[in-house]
Amino acid sequence: MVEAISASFGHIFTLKVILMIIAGLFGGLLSGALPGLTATMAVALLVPFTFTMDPTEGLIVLGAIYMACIYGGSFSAILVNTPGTPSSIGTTFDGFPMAKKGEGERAILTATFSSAYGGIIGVFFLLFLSPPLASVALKFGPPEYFWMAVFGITIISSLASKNILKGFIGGAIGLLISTIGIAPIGGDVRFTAGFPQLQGGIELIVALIGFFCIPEALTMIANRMQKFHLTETKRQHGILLKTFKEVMKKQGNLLRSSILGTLVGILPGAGGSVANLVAYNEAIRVSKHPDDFGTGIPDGIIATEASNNAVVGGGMIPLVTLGIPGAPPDAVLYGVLLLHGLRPGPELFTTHSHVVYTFIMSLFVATILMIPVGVISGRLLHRTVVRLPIRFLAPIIFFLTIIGSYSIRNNVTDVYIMLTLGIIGYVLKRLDFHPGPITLGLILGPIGEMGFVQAILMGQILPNKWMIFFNRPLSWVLIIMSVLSLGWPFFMKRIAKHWKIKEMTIDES
Amino acid sequence: MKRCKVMMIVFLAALVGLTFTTAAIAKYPDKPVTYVICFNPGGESDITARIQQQPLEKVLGVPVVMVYKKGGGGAVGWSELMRTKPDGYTIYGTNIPHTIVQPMTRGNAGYETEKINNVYFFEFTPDILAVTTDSEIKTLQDFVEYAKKNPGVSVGGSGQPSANSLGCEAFGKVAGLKLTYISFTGSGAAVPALLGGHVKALMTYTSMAARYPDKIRALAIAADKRAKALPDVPTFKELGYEFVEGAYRGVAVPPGTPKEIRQTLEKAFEKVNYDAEVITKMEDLGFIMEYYGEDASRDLVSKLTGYYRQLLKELGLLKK
Amino acid sequence: MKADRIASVIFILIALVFWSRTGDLQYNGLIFPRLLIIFLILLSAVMFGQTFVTKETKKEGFVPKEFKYIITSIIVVFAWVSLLNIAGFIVSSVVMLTFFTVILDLQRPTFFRTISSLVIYALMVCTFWFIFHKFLLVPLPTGYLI
Repeated sequence: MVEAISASFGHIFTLKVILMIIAGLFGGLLSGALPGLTATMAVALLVPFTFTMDPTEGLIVLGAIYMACIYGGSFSAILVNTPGTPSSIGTTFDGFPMAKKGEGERAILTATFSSAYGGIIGVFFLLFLSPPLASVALKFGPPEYFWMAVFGITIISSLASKNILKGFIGGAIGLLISTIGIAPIGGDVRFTAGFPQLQGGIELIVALIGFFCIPEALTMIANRMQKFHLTETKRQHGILLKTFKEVMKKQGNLLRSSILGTLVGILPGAGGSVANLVAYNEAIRVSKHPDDFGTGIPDGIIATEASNNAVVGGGMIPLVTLGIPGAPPDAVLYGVLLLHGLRPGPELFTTHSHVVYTFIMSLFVATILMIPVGVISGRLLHRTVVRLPIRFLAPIIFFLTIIGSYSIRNNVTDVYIMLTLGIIGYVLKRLDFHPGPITLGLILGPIGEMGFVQAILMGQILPNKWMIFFNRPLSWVLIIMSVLSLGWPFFMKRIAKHWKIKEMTIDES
Repeated sequence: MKRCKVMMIVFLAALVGLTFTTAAIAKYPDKPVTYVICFNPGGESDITARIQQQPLEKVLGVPVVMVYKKGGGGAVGWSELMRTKPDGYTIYGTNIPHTIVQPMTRGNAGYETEKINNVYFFEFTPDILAVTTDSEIKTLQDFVEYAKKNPGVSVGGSGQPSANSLGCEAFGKVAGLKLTYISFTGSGAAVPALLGGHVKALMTYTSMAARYPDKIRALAIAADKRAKALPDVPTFKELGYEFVEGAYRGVAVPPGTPKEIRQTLEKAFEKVNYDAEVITKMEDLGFIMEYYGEDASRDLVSKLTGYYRQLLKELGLLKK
Repeated sequence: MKADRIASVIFILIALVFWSRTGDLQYNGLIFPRLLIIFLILLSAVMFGQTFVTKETKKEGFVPKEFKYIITSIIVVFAWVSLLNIAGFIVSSVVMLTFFTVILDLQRPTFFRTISSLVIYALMVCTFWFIFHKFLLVPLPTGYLI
């Protein structure tokens, strides 16, 4: 392995390849920052350009695009409360409040360093721990996916800690919306009200743009503000180094979130969208000041951005070991490999080891180069958004949302759906329903339903078909995690009270 | 004299009009052609289209752009096909049995099978019955015995209704077995389920066996003859079960496309299908080359429509 | 609080509408939605009950100030989207963007400001069009004009 790694450096550190990586990073950043362009689409769009390159170089570019795209989603999340990709949903929770307080640049820099950290950890696992981790992924069957979805829903109790009831209602609404379309088992058409365009259901990105972006845009219009965020009163010198030190201090958060991201990425069917919210939840749970989350603290951004970039490396683990893509962009990469006659799987490491190792090492390089590329673009973007008057910013935001929702399926219907959901989202926002739980329901609905019904079918051969959910050890791990996650807020309050009483009695004596 | 003048003008106008239309058609194609895939990027429809992309660009002389319109198992894309401009610059990938089965089982799929104007069907992916390589089931006969002892054995596959699910039902009928079909979002999700032991067998496509030769053992292939990529796998017919099923992939144009454009596309795809590199890549991945031109495609569709209508009726899934 | 009350009733009604549409589905297709609907109805009922129990806290009303700007913006954007398939991407975007900006202007719109907005937007939209449509070949809405 060591010779292959050192040989790959020779391939990578040439001017041509470095330039290609940087070009890929800028492209990925742009598509990530634009809500509507997902990582999968960005990678798919650029596949034809790679036909003329040799397979290794093509993969390197696509890898750079992928990594930067997931990071770029944080830009729009922080600046206009719209996740640029589903992997950055959690970044809106703390990133946007920070921007509104005038700390947008600090937020972007935090996201940059966290993303790079997470990306490196993910690729590290890919390089050294692929085989054992991949076999864990296979153990996840339908019952486990169902319990994982349940666990995901219990996160709502932390996300919406101020009003758990409304959070769960939002989650239920999201879950219900996700059932629109074709039933995963049986193929029934559900809730389409006769519109054939709804057979595909509500696209996640369309809902994200609608629920997150439009309400904010409408609010800024309604408040007749002059500018969007509070501008920093003076240029802060040294903010780059200061933020770097700040982020690096939180090794616990960084490491935990990155590992969580890698693990979630390994599971085919769960990607960055799930990972960032799970990491956010865990960050709240172990934090000494959980109530600060959501008001605009860097810890939230660190958790979400580290985990979502770790998914990049994590998702490739089952791809290169078993030939099974861990996340949708990996499926496109898989296709590229097949087209070039390379079959992903264990043989790839032996027969084409130089391709694999060069690709993996290039991911390291791309992640590190992502930092300067991101800092420059992010700062530029931030200054633009902050300086632009609302009468320009709001229409431009609407313009970008229209392009974004159209480009998913080249369908004007999606744009109408996006706007309708936007109005509904605005109404719900005024009623104190946070969009986070709703989108969580939208993401987990298909995973949960599929797991649920598939498991019931699996259980047909058992005496009681419902036992299939309870007779597997991995399921129990997830069940316990869900119970803990659900009960944690109440549990913590009890413990806090207990310690307070103890302190008081000690003081008295 | 006046009448002569009028006649002259009418004749000239007709001549000019004719040259314009023939010129427009003769120039086809002169701008990029959009190839719409009604599924996810990275899926099998995407891969087969990508294999065709460069040779197609060479034959047509213009760039070919991939666009993805997924949703409803392809139905969202195909319903848009009905409303696309019939100028030959947008072609849609089509799949059987999806385009036949969806209008039959859904109240409103957004399109009718007969309205889809297929110009070419270029490949066939037969079903295979597969187990893991370390399974105790080594031959089809082993599986049949196992299934008889354990009725309701789980068989995974991609989609429902689909070539996998309908194939599973058809095989169950032919062999007199009770199989529980468990549908997954795609073959890419079904394979991990098999490898993880969550389902006992898979009714999947040959391309899966070609991709994971060391992990999947194909017991039999549901085609008329063996596949080049899997030469050791017997057909169901050889083993005594009259069972043929699989998915066809082709391309279609919107209704009302002029005949010349359809013929140009038909010839282009045929040429691409004889390209040596395309053939090698497709067969390596487990796809079987087919050469159905426009008329042959129409016959194929009507033949299969009758077959699926019967099958769906027996399963009680027919809505219209 | 009254808003919450109305909202919970609306949720229950929507849930019932969904329930009525599960009539002719197969078992596999209807279990999950039905369970969700029951869940939603229960939670909404709890929310409804809560509105009677908890005290009225003084908050800003549900209807925001400057409501007319919201309605206008919504109408403008919907008109914009409908225009896309008729007038094409570039024309409808430039026109509607300028119109939108003029409406939102905090000061009185002058001729100069309107024209300068038009020009900036024309440049911006054309750049976008070039990058996305011509270079990356991403399809954008087409109409009778560009």
